[in-house]
Amino acid sequence: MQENSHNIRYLSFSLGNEEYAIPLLVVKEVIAIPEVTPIPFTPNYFLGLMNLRGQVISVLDLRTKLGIKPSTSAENAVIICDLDPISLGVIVDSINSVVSPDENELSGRPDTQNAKASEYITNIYRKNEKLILIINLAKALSIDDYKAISGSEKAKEAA
Amino acid sequence: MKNASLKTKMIMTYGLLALFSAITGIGQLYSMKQVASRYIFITEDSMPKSMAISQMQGVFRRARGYQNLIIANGLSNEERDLNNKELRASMDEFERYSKEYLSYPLHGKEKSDLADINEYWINFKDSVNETLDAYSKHASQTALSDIVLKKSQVIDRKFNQKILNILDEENAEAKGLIEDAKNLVTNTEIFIIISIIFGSLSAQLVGYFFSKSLTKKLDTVVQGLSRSADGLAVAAQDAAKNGETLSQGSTEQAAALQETVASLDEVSAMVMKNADNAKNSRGFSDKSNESVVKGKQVVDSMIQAIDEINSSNNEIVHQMELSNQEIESIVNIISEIGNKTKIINDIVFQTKLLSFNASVEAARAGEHGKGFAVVAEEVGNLASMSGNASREISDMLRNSIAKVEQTVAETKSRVQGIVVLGREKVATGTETARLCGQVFDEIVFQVGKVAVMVGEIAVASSEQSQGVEQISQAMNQLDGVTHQNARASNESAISADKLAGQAVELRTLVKHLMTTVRGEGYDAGVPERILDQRSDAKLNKPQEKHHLASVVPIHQKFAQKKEVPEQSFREVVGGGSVPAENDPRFEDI
Repeated sequence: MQENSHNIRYLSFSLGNEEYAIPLLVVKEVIAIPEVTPIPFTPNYFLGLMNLRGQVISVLDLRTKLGIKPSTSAENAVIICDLDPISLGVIVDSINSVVSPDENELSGRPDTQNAKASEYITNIYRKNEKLILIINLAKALSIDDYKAISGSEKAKEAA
Repeated sequence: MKNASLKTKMIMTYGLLALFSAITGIGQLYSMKQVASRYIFITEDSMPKSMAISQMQGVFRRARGYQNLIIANGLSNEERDLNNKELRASMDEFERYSKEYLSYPLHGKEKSDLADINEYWINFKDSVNETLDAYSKHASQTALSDIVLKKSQVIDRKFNQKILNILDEENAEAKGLIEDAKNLVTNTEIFIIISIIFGSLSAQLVGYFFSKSLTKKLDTVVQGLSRSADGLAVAAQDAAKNGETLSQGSTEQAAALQETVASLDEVSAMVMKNADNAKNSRGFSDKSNESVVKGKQVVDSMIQAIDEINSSNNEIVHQMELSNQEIESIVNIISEIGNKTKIINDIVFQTKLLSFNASVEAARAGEHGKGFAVVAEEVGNLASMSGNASREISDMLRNSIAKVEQTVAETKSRVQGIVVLGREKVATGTETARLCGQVFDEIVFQVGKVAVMVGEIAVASSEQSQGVEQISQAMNQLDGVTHQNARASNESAISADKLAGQAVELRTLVKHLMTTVRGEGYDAGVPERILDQRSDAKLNKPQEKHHLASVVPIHQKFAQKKEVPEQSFREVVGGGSVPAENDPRFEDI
């Protein structure tokens, strides 16, 4: 992963009113909201499973996960992420654009006392007047999520 | 007894006294009668008897003399015949007296005495006859004297003795009777003296007590009478005063009557004015009736106009609905455009996603994908632009739809509001017009009523006029009555005066009665003030006369009024004609 290289591209998206970005290379593809099969006894942010061209992928709602109020619009989309062992579908409010910030436009992670909050934010991109939080998805989706995901993976494997 | 009337008391008292006197009188009468019977007995029985006996004795003596003369010598034949004749006459006389004596009632020894006397008489008669026979036979003187002197002398002696006895008896009887009568007289005198003493005493006592109680009562009565006379005098004075007041009242009444007559004339004028006004009002009411009918027609046409307005309103609403429908079809078209814009948006979204995926692929391609990444970005930019454009379009559409809808809604609501308002107004107008019509109807009705009432007022006015006429007549009668009243008050004043006089007279009578009851020495004590009042009344008399004099002119005034009246009343009321409209007296009303 070339996180520190110049002009790394990020895919910016909106969760609520705020704008977030993840490295473009994590993204496998973006799609419109597909049919999701809900799974019982799973956390509320785990929406269910989807079929992406024959591949079963877990779909998570990042808004619910991050404690942001979800809203439904035509621009809602799913970002299929390629987190090293597994692929995940993450629902966002809307996908805005591909950004490639300069070095000086980036700031370090904020110094907050809440370790968990600061853990998943890697950088802050000052785009003009707005701030875009660049996040680490793997960290943003905590261990439980992996378990859930692995559970689903196991279920998939069992099937 | 106490409750008995004075009359009864007096009758009983004097009855008792009279009874007493009657009893004593009867006793005295009885005594008198006793005495009288004795007296009568003496005069009618004893005395005649004694007289008769005495006569008999005298006649007997005379007869004896004549018998003796028979034998006397020296007598001529004529003288002898006369003597014999006399003898016979005296013998007859004796028998007459004897018969007389027998005619009286005989009692006791008298009968036997008389029988003895008769026997002696018969003897005597026999001796006389014997003498006469002897004489006629010319017997001898001695034989004759023997017969006469011896025989007759014996008879004579016995006879005289008997007569004296009888006289003594008679005298004794008479004396006894006289003694009896004297005793009776003495007893009667004692009885009379006792009666006089007792009667005078009891009469004195009864008279004293009776007169005392009677005087006491009479005194009370007299005092009461005195007071009453006093009161009567005061009352008479009051009556005189009242008469005066009444006279004044009559005068005032007369004045008031005059005023009333004047007022009555004014009333008459008012009534006439009323009648005129009623006539005028009748005209006005007719006119107003016409006006109201016209007004009602106008209201009807107004109701029609309002109905037309209402239909026009409905037409407007209908047109409004039509235009709204058209606008809605426009809105539909716009919505369709919106739908199409959504498709564009969808395509833009898909394009964007595609551009992102292209970017992702380009990024994965590394250095080789750089050019492609630019293309992808451009595509993304285009998509964004078209998306923005589409968004703007849809915004515009949304705005226009919203605006159209808003406009339509507003217009609709406004028009509806206006229409509803219009309808309400129309309804109100209709209602008002209807009420107006009703009011006009009522006015017509009321005006009709007013006309009728005005007619009634006219009739009533004429009746009032008649009534006023009658009141006038009544006033005239009242005038007469007042006149009479004044006269009556005069008379009552005079009567009061007379009454005062009579009160004084009564007082005098009372005084007299008091003098009678209590005696001359008693002062009747007539309160001087009554006399004063009397004198006051006398003093007042001229004043009363003055009042009377003031009353009389009022009658004269009435009389004058009756003569003058028309002229003076016309001056007051305006000649009986209706006063002018601008008469100041009406303005006050």
